[in-house]
Formats: sequence, C-alpha cells, structure tokens
Amino acid sequence: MDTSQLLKGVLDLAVLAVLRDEDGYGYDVLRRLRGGGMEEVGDASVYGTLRRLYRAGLLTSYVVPSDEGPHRKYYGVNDAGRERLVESERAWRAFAEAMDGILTKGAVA
Amino acid sequence: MNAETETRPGLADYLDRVRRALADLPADEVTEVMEDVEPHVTEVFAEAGDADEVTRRLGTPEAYAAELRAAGGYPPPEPAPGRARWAARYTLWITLVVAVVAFGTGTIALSGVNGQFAALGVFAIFALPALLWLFSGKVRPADVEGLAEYRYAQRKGSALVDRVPSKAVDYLRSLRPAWWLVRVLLVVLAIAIGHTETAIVLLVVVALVSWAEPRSRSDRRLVPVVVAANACLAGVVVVGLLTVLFSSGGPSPRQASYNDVSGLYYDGNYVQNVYAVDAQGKAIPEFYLYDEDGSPIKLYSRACYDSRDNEPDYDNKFPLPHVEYRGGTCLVEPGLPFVPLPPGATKSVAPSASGSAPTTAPPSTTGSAPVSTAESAPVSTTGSAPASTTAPAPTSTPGS
Repeated sequence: MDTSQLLKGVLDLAVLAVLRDEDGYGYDVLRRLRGGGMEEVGDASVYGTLRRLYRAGLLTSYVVPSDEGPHRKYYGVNDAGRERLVESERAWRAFAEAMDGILTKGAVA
Repeated sequence: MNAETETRPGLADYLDRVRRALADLPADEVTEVMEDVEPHVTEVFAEAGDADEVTRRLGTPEAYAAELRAAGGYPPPEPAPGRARWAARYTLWITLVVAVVAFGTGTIALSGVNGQFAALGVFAIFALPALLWLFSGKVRPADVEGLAEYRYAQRKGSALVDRVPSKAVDYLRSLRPAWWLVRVLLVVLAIAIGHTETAIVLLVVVALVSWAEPRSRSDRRLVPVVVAANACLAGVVVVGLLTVLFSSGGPSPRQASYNDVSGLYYDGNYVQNVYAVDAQGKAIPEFYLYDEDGSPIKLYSRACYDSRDNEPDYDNKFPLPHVEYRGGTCLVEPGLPFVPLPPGATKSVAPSASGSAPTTAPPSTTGSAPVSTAESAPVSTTGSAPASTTAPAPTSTPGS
C-alpha cells in the first residue's frame, strides 16, 4: 500500500512531535522524520505542513543568520501546539490501538 | 539572492519557478514560504550536485509547489475571471509586440535614420494600459502566467532548454555578467556616435534595464519592461556584431586590391602584348608564357568578334592577335607591329603605316628586370636598357 496516503493524516502530529523537544528548521524536521522511519515523506509536504501549523498558531518561528547559504528559519512548538500535540497523541494512540485490535482479530478469525 | 544561488547552476532557476508557481498566494505568505524553501533547495542542490538529481529527489519546481500547496492547505491556483483574463492576455501580447518592435528599433538605432524611434514610441503608448493594470493589481503576474498560451510557450521553452546540453546552458548563464559590460559599452557607443536622439534613447533604455532587471526577480510586474528594453539592446548588439563581422575579414577589400594589380606591367606600364624575336631578329610566330611556378601568364586577348557574344578572353599564347580598327572595320594585323633590329642594336624602328609604333629593345638572356604581374612573376628582359613597351594600337575606339 502507498504509505504516503497514511502519512497525510498523521504528518501534523509527526511534525509537532519531532519539534517537541528541540526547535528545528525545515530540513531538520525532514531529517528527524526520515530518521524516525518515515522514509517516504515528501520534502514539500513537510514545508507545507510547517506553514499550515504556523498559520494555525501552533508553531513559533524565528530566523537564524547563517554564515554559509541562506538564513534558516527555525520552528518551535508553542503552548497551543503542545496542547494540540497531547490531544492528537491521545487520539492517535486510541486509533492505533483500535486499528491494531481490528487487524489482530481479523488475523485470528 | 545570495552568493550560493548564483554559483550553483539551476538553483536560482528552480527557486524562481517555485516562486512563480506560488505567485497567486498573498505576497507575505510567499515570502515566508520561500524563506523555508530557499535554504532547503539550496541544501539539496549542494548534496545532489546537479539539477537532474535535484529534480529526481524533489520533483519539478511546479510539482514541488503543488505538493507544498496541498500540504499547506493553500487553495489550488485558480484561473483569473473572464475580464481579468482578457486584460492579462492583452498584457502578454502587447509585451511581445513591443519587444519585437523594440528589437527592430534596436537594429536601426545606430543608423541615425530620422524618426527611427517613432514606431517604438507609438507601441509604447499601447503598452501603457497593460502597465497600469499590472501596477494597480487589476492584472496579476500570475494571471498572465496562467494563460494557456503562456503555459504552452513555457512548456515548449523548457523542453527546448532541456534538449540543449546542460554545459552549454551553464556557459550561457555564466555570460550574464558580460551583458552588464555590453550595456556600458552601448552607452559609450551611443555617445561616441554623436547622434543626440540615439544617445538619449539608448541611455534611457540601458538605465531602464539596469534599474528594472534586478527588481523584476522579486517584482514580476516589471518583467514586460525588462523584456522590451533587453530586446531593444539585443537588436543594437546583433547589428553591431554583424557590422564588425562584415568589416573585418570580408572578401571584398582583398578582391579590390587584386583587381588593381592584375595584368602584366613593365616599369609601371600595363603591357598589352608581348612579342619575341630570335637571335637573328626574326619574329617567333607562336610561344607561350609561364611564370616561375608554371602558371600561365595570361593577358586579355582582343578579337574581332562581337563582344556581346564573347566573354573576355585571356590567353597565354603569344603574340596575341594584333587588332586594328580601320574605317569602322576590325582587322587582325599579322606579324610584328614594329621592325626589330638584330639583338645588340639599341632601338628598333617602327613602321609608320599603322601609327602605332612601340619601341623596344630586343630580348637578351642576360639581366633581369622584373616585370610585375599580380603574382609578380619576373619576365626576363634586357637589363638596364631603358626599354619601354607602349600600347601597340588605339584600342576599342573605331577609327574615323
């Protein structure tokens, strides 16, 4: 199955999660997601998601000058973002548990 | 743009196309998005090395922008409503027409023809509404770029660029700074040429390009101005280059100098015929002349034909027919037109009958006064004798 379809629904949560402990610029976020096993996440999707979460007021952003190359814009999770992260995480775990159960029962039956 | 985007081939172009694909979004949002995208694409370019690998990883700039739109919750690009579309269409086409007229004007700009800028002026007036629409926001650059004909041209254009080897494209891109130098030279040229009208117009055009081009990267409303002004300068440059190519190394000057010295000359006089006598002073009826390379030494051979039927005839068989006109008829005189003295005598005596009596010293094998031809082939004649050959007969004018 095309995992990119699955990714779409959980990308918001994943992006909030990788920014929870440490701020990062776009490519940081991308690398953390890929490092966490989300190999198929599209570059532009991550940047789109960052902008959408920012517009929704869940992220803060600030520009850090760079000696080499363009300045980097860092994103961090604000309080609203953390709140959303907790909610979404709860929803995801419940969903994953239910999904797991369905898959397990289906396999047994 | 920073230094890195300038040095990496394809990077600025990629970013430009992403920006264009997002151009219908609010300007602030585009700026914010590009602040994320620029470092990202720059980094991917640094890792990938070349534009093809970048496209493999990120997709085309348009696909990248579309994915970003979808994930970012932005609306898909929507076509402009009817009226704005027609305004956009007018803007596109008048830009093209003005660019073509500007190119044409550029090609005649240095000729100093009166009223050479009139057509450009008229079409520039037609372009004013388009500029007003663009700067009042009635027509957005994205509207123009969304037109079917624009997208078609863009597709064809990038397909064409893709077919050109990337090295050639990179090389042409690397010439961009030279275009600045060309502009400066044009200003100097325009002033040097001393035609006030031309100088003023070229100064204005160069100033316009220099001001608008860097700004057009972020403000695409200036693109029509840049296109038209650059087209005008390109016209001037093309004609300038052609002029330089034609004035240097062209075949015409060499041809002219060759014609000037063609034929056979002796002591600076054109030799029309050559006669030879043997040691007894007897005319040698038929002989052929060659230079030291074995090339025939040919002279124009007159004949009693109707000249319209015959191409000028050059021959190295001597003596050439001695043509005389008497009483309106053309005659070929046999024999020598003079009486040679035996070798060693100083002068030959010309018969008075024909009235054409060249004097000559008989040939001897000693000494060598060069007779110049086109190839300056030496023809051996007498040494220091002040020999001179003159025209044997009045030539083409028929006698009374």
